[in-house]
Amino acid sequence: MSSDTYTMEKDLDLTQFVCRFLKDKGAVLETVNMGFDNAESNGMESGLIKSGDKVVDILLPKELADALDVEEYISVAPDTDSIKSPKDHKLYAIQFQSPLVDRIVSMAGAKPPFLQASLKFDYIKTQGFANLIKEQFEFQKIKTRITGSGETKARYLLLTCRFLAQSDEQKQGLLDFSFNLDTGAMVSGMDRMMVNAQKEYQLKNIQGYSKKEIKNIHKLVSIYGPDAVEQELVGFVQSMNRRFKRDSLSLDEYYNALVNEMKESLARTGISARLVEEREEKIALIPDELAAKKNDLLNKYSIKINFTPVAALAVTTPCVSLLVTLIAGNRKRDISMIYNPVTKQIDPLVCQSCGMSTYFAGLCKNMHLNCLDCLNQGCTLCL
Amino acid sequence: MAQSKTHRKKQKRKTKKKQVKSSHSQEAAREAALEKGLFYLNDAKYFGSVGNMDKAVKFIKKAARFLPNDENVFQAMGSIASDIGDDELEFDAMAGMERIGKVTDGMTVDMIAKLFSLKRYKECIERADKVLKNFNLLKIKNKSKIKFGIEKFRAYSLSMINIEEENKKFLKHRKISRSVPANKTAALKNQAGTNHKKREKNKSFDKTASVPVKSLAEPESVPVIPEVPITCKIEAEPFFNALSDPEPAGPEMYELALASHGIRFTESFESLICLSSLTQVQSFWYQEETAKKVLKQFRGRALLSDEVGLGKTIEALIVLTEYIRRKMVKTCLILTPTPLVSQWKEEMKSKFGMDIPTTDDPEFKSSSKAFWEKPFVIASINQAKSKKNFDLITAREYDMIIVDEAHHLKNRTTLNWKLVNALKKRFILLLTATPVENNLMELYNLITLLKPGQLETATSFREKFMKRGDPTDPRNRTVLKELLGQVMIRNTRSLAGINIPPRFAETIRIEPTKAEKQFYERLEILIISLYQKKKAGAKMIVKNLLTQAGSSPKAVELSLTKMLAKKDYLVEHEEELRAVKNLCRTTLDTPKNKALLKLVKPAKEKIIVFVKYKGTIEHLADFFEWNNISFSLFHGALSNKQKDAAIEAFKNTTQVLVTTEIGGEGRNLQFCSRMVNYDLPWNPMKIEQRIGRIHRIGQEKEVQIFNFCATGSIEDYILDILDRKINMFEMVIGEIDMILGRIRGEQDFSEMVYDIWVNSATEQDRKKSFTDLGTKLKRAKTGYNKTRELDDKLFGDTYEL
Repeated sequence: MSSDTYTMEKDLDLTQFVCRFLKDKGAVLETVNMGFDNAESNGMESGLIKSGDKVVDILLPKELADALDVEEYISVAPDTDSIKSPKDHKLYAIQFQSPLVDRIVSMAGAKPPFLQASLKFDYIKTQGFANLIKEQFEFQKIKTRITGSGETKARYLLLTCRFLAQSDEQKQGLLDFSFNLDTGAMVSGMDRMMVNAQKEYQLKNIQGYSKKEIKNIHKLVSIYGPDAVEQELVGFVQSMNRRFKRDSLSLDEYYNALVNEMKESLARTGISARLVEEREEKIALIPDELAAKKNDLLNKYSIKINFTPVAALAVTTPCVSLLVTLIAGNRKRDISMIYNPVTKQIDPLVCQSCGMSTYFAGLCKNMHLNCLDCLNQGCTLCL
Repeated sequence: MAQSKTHRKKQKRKTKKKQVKSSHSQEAAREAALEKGLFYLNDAKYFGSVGNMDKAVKFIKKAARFLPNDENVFQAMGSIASDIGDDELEFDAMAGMERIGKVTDGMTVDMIAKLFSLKRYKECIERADKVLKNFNLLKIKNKSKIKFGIEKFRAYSLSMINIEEENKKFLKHRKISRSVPANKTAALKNQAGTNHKKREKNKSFDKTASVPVKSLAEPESVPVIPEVPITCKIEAEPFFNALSDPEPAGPEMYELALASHGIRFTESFESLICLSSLTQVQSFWYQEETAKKVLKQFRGRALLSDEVGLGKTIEALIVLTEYIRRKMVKTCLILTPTPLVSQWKEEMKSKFGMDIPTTDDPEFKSSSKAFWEKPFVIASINQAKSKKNFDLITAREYDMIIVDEAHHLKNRTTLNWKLVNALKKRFILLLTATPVENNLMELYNLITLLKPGQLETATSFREKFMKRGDPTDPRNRTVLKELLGQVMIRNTRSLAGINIPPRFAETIRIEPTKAEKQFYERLEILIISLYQKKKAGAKMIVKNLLTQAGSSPKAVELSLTKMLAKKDYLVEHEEELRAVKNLCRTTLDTPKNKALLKLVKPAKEKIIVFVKYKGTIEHLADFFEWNNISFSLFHGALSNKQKDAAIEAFKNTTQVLVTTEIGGEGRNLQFCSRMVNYDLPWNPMKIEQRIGRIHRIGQEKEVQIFNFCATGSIEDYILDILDRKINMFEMVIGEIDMILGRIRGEQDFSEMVYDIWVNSATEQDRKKSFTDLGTKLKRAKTGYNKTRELDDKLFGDTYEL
């Protein structure tokens, strides 16, 4: 998800954001001239406050007021120019980069929030998995047979990361990843389909992940991140390439002209042999200087991308575990597959060689499950 | 020895026998081939005549194999190919004719077009070069036009080759290196769960990659420059911090945290919040990126100097809308040349939903003081700088100033420059495709309006950056580039990836019938008498009647009926009105309609017929119906649903779309590549808008424009100037405006035409005035071309995104 699509999808409304944040932190809000009644609290929850509405009076808890460096009783409005300031308290403008908004935004995004949820489903599919496998997967020279199935629980992590690409200038945005923590499979689109699932949030006794699990999560982001960010950076990369090419060409032009100028000066009369020798030495050094300058340019425009997690949603969901036998000639191998009730699909398999998720798989001579690329290049476990 | 002699003789006899035999067999083979070839040729002709084209093609190809030097075969091949529209076969036919030396000069030129449409760009360039080299020797008509066309084909082919090369290079280098084991990198292609999506993703990635192309002028032997390296380093520590001892949060806080990042991106102009609300405008990626750069890096003060036709107005309006959405701009003054005021108003209303008062409004004339107090105003710069208004405007503050055609501010001694300099403003955008016309000081003056001191003082600028003797050739280019790069953006067509096939126009002059001549003469008498009675008051009516006469008698009839219904004309006028109205009743079979039918019927290709008046639409609808030609109608009176249905019908079933000027605005009509100007707007910008409906991004074929006019009519004069004198129909979109801008001053082109028409006492006077106007325009075009070349040389692609 790029920053552009982010704002478009969520239709960012600053006033709404501020009110929701303050209410979540224990403030009491009252709307004035907003065109609806009894908006004290319900209005915020149902999202009734719109940027076009006028003023919101807010009573803040002392600690929050201190943290935000404002009085305990304040008013906020999107457009303070057209509103008369109240006599007994201060009116703050809710606009991009206004000091109050800036502090609230900083507080809201200071630490990556960790949200835990258990999912519930009224109905989970119990049949028809063979067809689903047939539709979703393609196995090379392998027949599949489901030998057993049963309901179980699976753990997923929906991780949002901020990417920052730095070069001559920088570009940033958010990217969503959904991983099955038990299998390591990347389940694309799960974050979007979560809207339809019934969620039960767990706010107490939150436990983080073990070192090994985090290492694994980091590894997964390292595997999938570069491809995911590639799409977001198309224009940026092209722009940097263009600038680099442009500057390289003008460097070439400049040094060519310089060499010509210096060579011409050698032909002038009255220059001592020593001076000629010195100048020739200087001319000889120019290619190196040019190469160094080009290298500087390359460093200037090279793009470094970093990822930082900014929010995590840990999901536990009931699912169906399928025991599937892969039959390749007279050899067999049992694997487990997970039917994900959120996506209503079977999670992809994970290649034992490269760790990538795949729907196109085969078995190597030692019965390791490989994606087609690894199968063609040779199973790394067998090497 | 003797034996060997006999042996030799024997051998000789044998060889001779063999030769005779082989010559006999060769002769026989030739005869057989000739016979077979003729047989196949006749078969091909037969199957062609009965409409079995598959067989006709099969046999003609066989005939060509057996009769490779027979002109008749290639002629038949050409005719079959043109019947079925097979470009490849047609090219083969022409190549065959060329091989046997029977090719005509016209055919040689056609072969370039064929190679182009076959996408054989390299061959197209080679052939174009060859033809251009000996162009003077060719015996063809319309030489200059054809030469221009060949050059266009050549340039377009060159850019297509560049795109292909760029794509290849890009695909080669596009993978991002990452800090994961190499085997994983190799396996990335096979990403799970998104395999299908991934493929699509890659496709779109490649597509975008094809957008930027090298400039056509780029030399062929460019040194190979590597792509910039991309490294993806993902540190583990933040993951441990976030996930090992996490910050528990409820769903609300979770959402707010995510939203907070969105706000940060928005604040840093990483994302534009106005885009989601701009439903009526299709902005291109370079326009959005330009807007971001203006907001993010230039902090709202910029010189937008994109090449003509890339949409500087859209870029400026995205910046303005973004500032408005962020509540950073609450007041804005837009200054434009007088004739462009209405264009800006229209654009802002239709595309950005902003209805802004202008100096064209009656309100401005009635109370100018109240008018200038309004928060948003579009003003003619001439009105703004007038003595009456100068102080009013400069006394107040504006959040934003936009100046269109900012090259009018190049001279700091003019009132234009002084006005903009005196305005109190926070943000300012200067829009011009030609910032420098004669002297680098012009650029200095513009930049000083944006950021005083950016280029230091005028003296210092002269000393540092200007060479003596050549005021257009800067020195200390690197420093100047750095300084200009902080305030100026100049996107080029090659960056934007705009490579539309060429367009060609043909004027179809129609000799009016006796009855039509009588009608025009009576109408002219009426018009002159109306004009003499009312002068300025009759301007609108006279202008309308004249343009309607150029459209169709039916259009005039509707107008006259309305005039008669009003009953505010003198008795003698009323009588004349009735008389002319009676003459309006014509049959459908007018020479103009016949000419249209000639265009429509044989080709069976889709064609758009542009008309200006509803009366003409009705007239044409009757005509097409009578001639059994399938058509759709599109005009302002239709509901949105009906409009969609009309376009859909034209796309899928009907052959002709008859449409008014508003026809298809914003709708994709690029599937059609032929259009007819059944009548001709007097305003060249309107003509360009019509052409722009099909000659735009997405058009794959060359566009053919047919302009209809009656011999000796106003439209005939206009076409003579616009087409023959300045070649307007083959210009890049936006260029005509630049040329008109140089001659029009306060007057619109259509006003000039009107003035000539009503003020010429005799036909000769009229002719002379139109010739003068044409010369003026031609001179303006030459001046514009010179300026454009200078700006290309000065700025090139240095200030692109």
